[in-house]
Amino acid sequence: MAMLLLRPPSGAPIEFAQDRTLMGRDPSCAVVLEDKSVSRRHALVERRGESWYVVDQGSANGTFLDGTPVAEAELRDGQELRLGTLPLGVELESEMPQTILMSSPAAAAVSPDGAADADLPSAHPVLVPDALGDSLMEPVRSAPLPREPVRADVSGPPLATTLLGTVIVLMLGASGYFWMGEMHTRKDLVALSRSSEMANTQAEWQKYQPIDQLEKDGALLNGALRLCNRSAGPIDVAWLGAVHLEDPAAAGQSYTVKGYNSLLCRQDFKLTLPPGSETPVALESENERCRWNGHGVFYALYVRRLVPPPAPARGAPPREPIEQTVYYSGLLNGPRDCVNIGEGW
Amino acid sequence: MPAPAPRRRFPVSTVVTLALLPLVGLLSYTLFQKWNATRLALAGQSAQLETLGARNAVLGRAYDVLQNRKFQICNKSPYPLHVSWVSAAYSDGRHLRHFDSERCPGWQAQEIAAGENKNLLLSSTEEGCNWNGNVIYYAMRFSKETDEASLPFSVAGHYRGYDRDCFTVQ
Repeated sequence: MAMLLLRPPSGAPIEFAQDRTLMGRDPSCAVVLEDKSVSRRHALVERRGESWYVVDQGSANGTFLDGTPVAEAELRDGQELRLGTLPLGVELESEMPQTILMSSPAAAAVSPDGAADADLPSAHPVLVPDALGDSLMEPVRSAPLPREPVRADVSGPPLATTLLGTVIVLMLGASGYFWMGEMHTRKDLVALSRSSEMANTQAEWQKYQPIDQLEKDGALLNGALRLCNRSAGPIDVAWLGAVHLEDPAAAGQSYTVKGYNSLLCRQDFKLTLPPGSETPVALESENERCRWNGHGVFYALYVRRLVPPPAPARGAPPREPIEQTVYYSGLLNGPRDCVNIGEGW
Repeated sequence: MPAPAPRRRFPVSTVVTLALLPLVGLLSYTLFQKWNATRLALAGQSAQLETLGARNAVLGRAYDVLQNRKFQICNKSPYPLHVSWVSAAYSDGRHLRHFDSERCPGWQAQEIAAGENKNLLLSSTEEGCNWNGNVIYYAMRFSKETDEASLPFSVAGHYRGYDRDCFTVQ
């Protein structure tokens, strides 16, 4: 008896061994065809004696044989069966080509139980040689295929493979991008490291490093000078000197250093601080050199105080108070408290 | 009776792509790490260059002002000088410091003979009194001891010295 094979455009051919085989997309079908044009239960392949028939199961997209729609038709070798848009080549082959076909009477004689199997086609019993190749041949029936549904690979690679392949391609693309990016970036890095700009900047930095910390410590910061009289009486500031820095607006220009010296402005300079006062220093003058807003990076001043003389010897006339000069100086870098004058006097 | 649901098995192509996936993933990750490290190094270098450049611009303007020099008095007058008080803002090699002779009992008034050059400094264990003689800003009170009188002077300013390295008294 001829064996029916249906050959899809891709994948392994579908072999039919059962008398009735239902084809369709539904997983319960014996042959599952994963094609959108195939109905869930599309067509039945049926063996009738020596022939194979296809019976349409009321499919949505129809069953065709050599392009002709059919409800039921016999399948012949070489025909094209089409379920929906899925073409299947019809092949009718002799079953188990490795077997030796013998004539019916001889085969019936060598049957072990002395009678031909009712299921075997009596006209063409199938015999296979035994393992030792003896002349005694035993009839065997063609083994029925398991009931497990045949899954036909008719719709290209599975979705998982497609997705994984896409991910791999994307990752390979990203790898290429990273590789190229690394090459370019390394090139830029080497170029920057060797650039004259980098060399000059680092050389300049070496030159300026000794003053870096001084600048951070506030050696360029101007602060406001405030004087606080902590004594019980008034105090006269007899001399005041200061250094004020002007930050240049443009790069490449140096700071402008301005000095203030009260003696250069007025020989009789005197700044009186009332007791307990807190005086922000600001000096006005028509002479620009003698004008000072009280801000500076460094200040110095001295005050004069009269110190009581030691007690005179008995009978001696009282002595005059002694004039003492007391100096104050410091940095005005940033916010600071008052310069306390006269503490403990 | 409905046939049992078909057993799903991975085709060979899926198994191959699954096997390739970690390898390609590892390759991508390794290359990304390398690229990222190089990118960060370049960004770091660029940032460092920018920072140094900006800092150099600030310090370049201040370079002349913050020169730390030795406080030297050159007495070119025919009279001796009497230095009663000195104050200096200076660098101790790292930080900005301040010295005020008024706060240092170890300080003694300095006499500078006519024609003499003298560096002022004070070695002391007292806090704020160990002055290495460096100066950036200064203030000083000195007197010129003439035959007739003592002429006092009070000065303050940014130390440059009249000839760059000396406070010269004519």
